[in-house]
Amino acid sequence: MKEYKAEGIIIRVRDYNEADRIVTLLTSEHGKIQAIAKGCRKQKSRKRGIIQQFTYGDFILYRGRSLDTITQCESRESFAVLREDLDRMAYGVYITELLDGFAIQGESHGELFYLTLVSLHLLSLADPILVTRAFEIRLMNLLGYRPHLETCVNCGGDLIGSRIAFSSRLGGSLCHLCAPGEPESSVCSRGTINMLKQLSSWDLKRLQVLKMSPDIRRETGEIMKNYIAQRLDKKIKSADFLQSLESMQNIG
Amino acid sequence: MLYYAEPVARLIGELSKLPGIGPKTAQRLAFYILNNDSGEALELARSIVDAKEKIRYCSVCSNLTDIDPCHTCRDESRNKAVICVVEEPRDIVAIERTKDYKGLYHVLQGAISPMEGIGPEQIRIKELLSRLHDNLVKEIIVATNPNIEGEATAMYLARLIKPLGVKVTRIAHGLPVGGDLEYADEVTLSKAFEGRREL
Repeated sequence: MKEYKAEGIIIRVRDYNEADRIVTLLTSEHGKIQAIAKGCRKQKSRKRGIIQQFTYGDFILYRGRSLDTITQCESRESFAVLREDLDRMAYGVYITELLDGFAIQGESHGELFYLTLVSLHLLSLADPILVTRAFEIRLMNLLGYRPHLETCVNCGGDLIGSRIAFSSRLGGSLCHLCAPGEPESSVCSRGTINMLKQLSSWDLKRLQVLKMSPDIRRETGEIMKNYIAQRLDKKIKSADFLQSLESMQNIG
Repeated sequence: MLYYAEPVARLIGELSKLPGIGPKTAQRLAFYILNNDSGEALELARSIVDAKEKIRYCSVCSNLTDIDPCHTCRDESRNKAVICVVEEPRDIVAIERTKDYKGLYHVLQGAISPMEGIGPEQIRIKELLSRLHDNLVKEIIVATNPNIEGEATAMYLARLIKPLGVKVTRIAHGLPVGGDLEYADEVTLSKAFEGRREL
């Protein structure tokens, strides 16, 4: 069958030619797909409002040699809030860019799709930083990069003392004795490691109950940034924009 | 084997670099130019060189212009209290066609696109902020495109400019005039509902 249906989320949109767009879709059944939406920038196109980043909907695609073509689409949820709030949008773009970087074309991953859908939904209502951190660590878990947080990743000893560390290179927490031997690790509190554990195991629906202190917020952000950078061999461009928003808030 | 004499091949090659021009169209254009009298070809060549040499960015609004400041910025009859912010010079042409807007413009030369790595520093936001220092401007109308990049730019500008005590407004989204409700997409339609007004 050349024509097929897919339920998907638009994670990236690029303008192409005069009136077309190239869309990256994350679908539940077919994984990541690159497809072209022809004529969707024209005034009269019905696809115009739907072919936008974050839209979750049903798509009918036609298989092509290098790119599939979106022939029909209908939106189920457009996540309008993400387009109306600058911070939520910036975190949403960051999440979709991470997905674009990690998801493999054509490899179906139902859980990844579900995680993305729930995260985008939560991003419209809960603390965007909390949702983003939970997304990051769960993404790592799903892809097989689960960090070791229970004991020291180096010696297997218990994590005692209030100041311990996390090593991106070794992929886990370090006890106070091993931390000095790993100069590139980031020093953090036990609370931060506990927060990472909670973020990866709590029911996502109850995530809003979690509260992060400014210190834990900073440390979890730092740890996840380095951990992801170590595992993805390309730069996440939207992280720069997030940083510029943060510095703007600090000045304000 | 060479199908064309070298100058013709070069002309076709150059023309086919233009957007929307394929090899066939380039060939047709090239033969059209060759068949016309040389005056017209010279005029075309001259106007290309002229435009390329004389056009630069206006030091005030960043629009394309042949004189600096541009005609709009010099025009005394325009309302200096309002600035309409657009992404590209061609957006100004679209707004001018409405004949409704009498204020000034500012061209950002792009929009913030976090995923492409285009941040606020890469577009002309600094130039816009410097225009607000003399307290003459009372309102900024953000007329960037209604897509994710345009919205990000609009919200970023609002966050930056509102604390300065300048009103920031966004142009409305909605149904096109003469359109058909049935064919409108859900997002546009819900935006149209949101922005409804009393009759």
